[in-house]
Amino acid sequence: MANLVAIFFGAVFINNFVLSRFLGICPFLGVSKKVDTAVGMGMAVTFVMGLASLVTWLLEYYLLVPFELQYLRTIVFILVIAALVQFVELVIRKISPVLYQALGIFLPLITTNCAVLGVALLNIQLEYNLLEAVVFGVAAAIGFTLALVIMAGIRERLELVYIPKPFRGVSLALILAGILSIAFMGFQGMM
Amino acid sequence: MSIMKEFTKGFVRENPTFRIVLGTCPTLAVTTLAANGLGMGLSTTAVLVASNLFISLLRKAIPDKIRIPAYIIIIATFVTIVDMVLNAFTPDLHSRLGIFIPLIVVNCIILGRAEAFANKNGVVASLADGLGMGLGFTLSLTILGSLRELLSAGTLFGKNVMGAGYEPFMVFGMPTGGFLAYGLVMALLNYVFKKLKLE
Amino acid sequence: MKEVLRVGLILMLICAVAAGALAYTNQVTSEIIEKRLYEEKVALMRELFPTVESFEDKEADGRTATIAYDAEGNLVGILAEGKTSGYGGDIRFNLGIDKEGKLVSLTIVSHSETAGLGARITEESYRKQFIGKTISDSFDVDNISGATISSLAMENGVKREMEAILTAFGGELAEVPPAIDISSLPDGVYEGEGEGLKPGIKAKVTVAGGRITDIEVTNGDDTPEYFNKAKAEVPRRIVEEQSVQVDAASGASFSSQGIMQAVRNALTR
Repeated sequence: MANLVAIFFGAVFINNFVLSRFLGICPFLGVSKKVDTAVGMGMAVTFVMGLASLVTWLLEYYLLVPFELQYLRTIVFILVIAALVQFVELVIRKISPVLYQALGIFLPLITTNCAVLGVALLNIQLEYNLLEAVVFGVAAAIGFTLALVIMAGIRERLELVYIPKPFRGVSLALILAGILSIAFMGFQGMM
Repeated sequence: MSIMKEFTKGFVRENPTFRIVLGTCPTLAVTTLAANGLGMGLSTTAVLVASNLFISLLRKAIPDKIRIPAYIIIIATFVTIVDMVLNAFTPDLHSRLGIFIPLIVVNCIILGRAEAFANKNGVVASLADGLGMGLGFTLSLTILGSLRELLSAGTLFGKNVMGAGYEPFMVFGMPTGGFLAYGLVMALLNYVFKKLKLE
Repeated sequence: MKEVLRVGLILMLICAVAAGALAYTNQVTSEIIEKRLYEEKVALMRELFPTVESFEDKEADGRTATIAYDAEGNLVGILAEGKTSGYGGDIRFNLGIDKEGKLVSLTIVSHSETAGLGARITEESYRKQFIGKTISDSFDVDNISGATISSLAMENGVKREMEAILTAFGGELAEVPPAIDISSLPDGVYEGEGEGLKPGIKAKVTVAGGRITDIEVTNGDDTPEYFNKAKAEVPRRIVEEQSVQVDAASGASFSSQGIMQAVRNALTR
C-alpha cells in the first residue's frame, strides 16, 4: 500500500510527466489557453491513460512475453492505444452525449500524446505489476492535468498583460513551464 | 528547382522545432548534451525519410479509410528498426535516449509530414521533404543540445571548451533549463526573423 | 462488403510485411547485441579482476551476482547490483568487489535524481572516491554541492549493499581482513578488542615512528593455560615481524587469533 502511495505522489508531483519527464508537451502547449478546455483534456487523458496502462500491461505479459515478441512492443502498443481511443470515443458517444460533448474533441488528439505511449513503456521498463501500472498511469495523467490546469490559469491572466512581441505564444509558454518546473522541484525529496 | 525548395524549407522557414513547434517532447528531453540532440535528430530523420518514402510509394494503394492506421504501422516499423540498430551499434546513445526512441512513433512531425506531404506528392519530392525536415529538426536539436551542454557543463560534444575556471550554470542541465533554453532561443529567433523580414 | 474485405486485406498485408521486416531485423541485431553484451562483460571482468579465468552468475538472498574465478577456481571477485533510495527515487548501481574485499568499481545503472545536481552521482570524479574502500572504512566522501540527500543516499547505500553482497556471496572472502599500512599510522597508543575462545580480549598497541613498538594484552577470559602461551608468543612475533598476521602459538590457536584480532581492531579504529 505504501508502495502504491509512493508511486502515486511520485508520478503526480516529483517526477511530473510534463514538467520533469517531458511527456505530453504538445497538448500541454496547445491546449492550455483556457482552464475549461484544460480540465476537459485532462479528464479524457486520465481515462485513456488508466485504460491504456491496464491493456498494454496485459498484452505485454500475456501475449508478447510468452511468444517472445517483445520487439513488436512499440508497434502493438501504439496500435492498441489508437484503437482504444477510437473505442472510448464510440462508447462515450453512445452512453453519454453530454460527456461526449465535453471530451469528444480531445479524444483524437490523444493517440499522438506521447504521455500515453510513454506511460505504457515506462510501466514495462520500471517492472511494475498490474495494480502498480494502473495506479502509475492514472497518477501520471493526474499530474499531467495538474500541470495543464495551472498553466492555463497563468495564461488566462497573461491575456491581460503586455508581452513583448518575440515572446508571444509558445516561447513564453515554454519559459512559464520552466518556472513552473522550478516550483515542482520543491516536491523532490518529499519522500 | 522545387525539389531544392522542398529540401531547404525545413531548415529555417518551416523549421519543425522553432517555427511549426512539433516534436517538443524529445526536443526538451534529450538536449542535455549536444551528442544526444544530434543522435535523436538523426534517428528521427532516418524514420522520417523511410516513412515518407514508403507512404509516398503506397499512396495510391492504401485506401483513404485506413490510411492513419496504415501510416502508424509503417512509422512504428521503422522506429523499431532504428531502436534495434541503435541498441546494436551505439549502445551508449541508445541508453541515454531511453524511451524517447520508441516515442519517435508519436512525434507529430512524422505523422504530420505523412498527412500533409507524402500522401499527396511523388517519391522524390517526399524524400526531399523528409530529409529536409529531418535535418532541420536535427539542426535545432543540436543547437539546443550544444547550448545547454556548454552552459551546464562547459563542454561541447564532451570536450572541455570553457576552461577550468568555468562555473557551470547547472540549471541548464535540469528540466527547468530545457524549457528556458527552448523558450529563449525561440524568442530570439522570432526577433531575428522579424528584423530580417522588415529590412 | 467487398470493400471492407479489400480494406481489411490491405491492412493485413501491411501488418504482415511489417512484422516480417521486424522479425528479420530483430534476428540480426539481437545476435549482435548479445555478443556485444557478453564481450563487454568479459572485458569488464578482465579489467576489474585481472586474474579472472571464468565467471558464472549465482543467486543468493534474492540477489544475482557474477562471481569471477581464477585458473585454480578460487574466487577472485564479485560483481553485483545494489540499490538505495535517492532524492527522486531508487538509485541502482553495480558494485565490483575484489578478493581482498575492496570495492574496485562503482557504476550507476539507473536513477531519477535531479539532472545537473543529484544526477552528478554518475560522474566519475564522484564515483571514484569510493574505489578502494573496504567495509571497515569510512564511506564519508566529498558530497556533491547542492545534492546532500543524493550524496548521503550513495554513502549509506553503497556501504550497506556492499556488506549485503559480501554476506550473500563472499563466504570466506568477507572475513578477509583489510591490509593495514602500519608505516602510515600516527604515533600513539591504540586500544582494541578481539575474540578468542571467549570475547573480551583487550590489547594496547604502541606505535612510534611508523612501527609497532609494544603490545600489552590487558585482558583475556580464555582458559589461562592456553591464553598465557598465546600472550607470551603472539605480541612478540607481531613486533618482530611488524605484521598483524603472524603464526599462532602452538596449542593456543584460538587465543592467538583473538590477540591478533584485538591488535588489528586497535589499529583500524
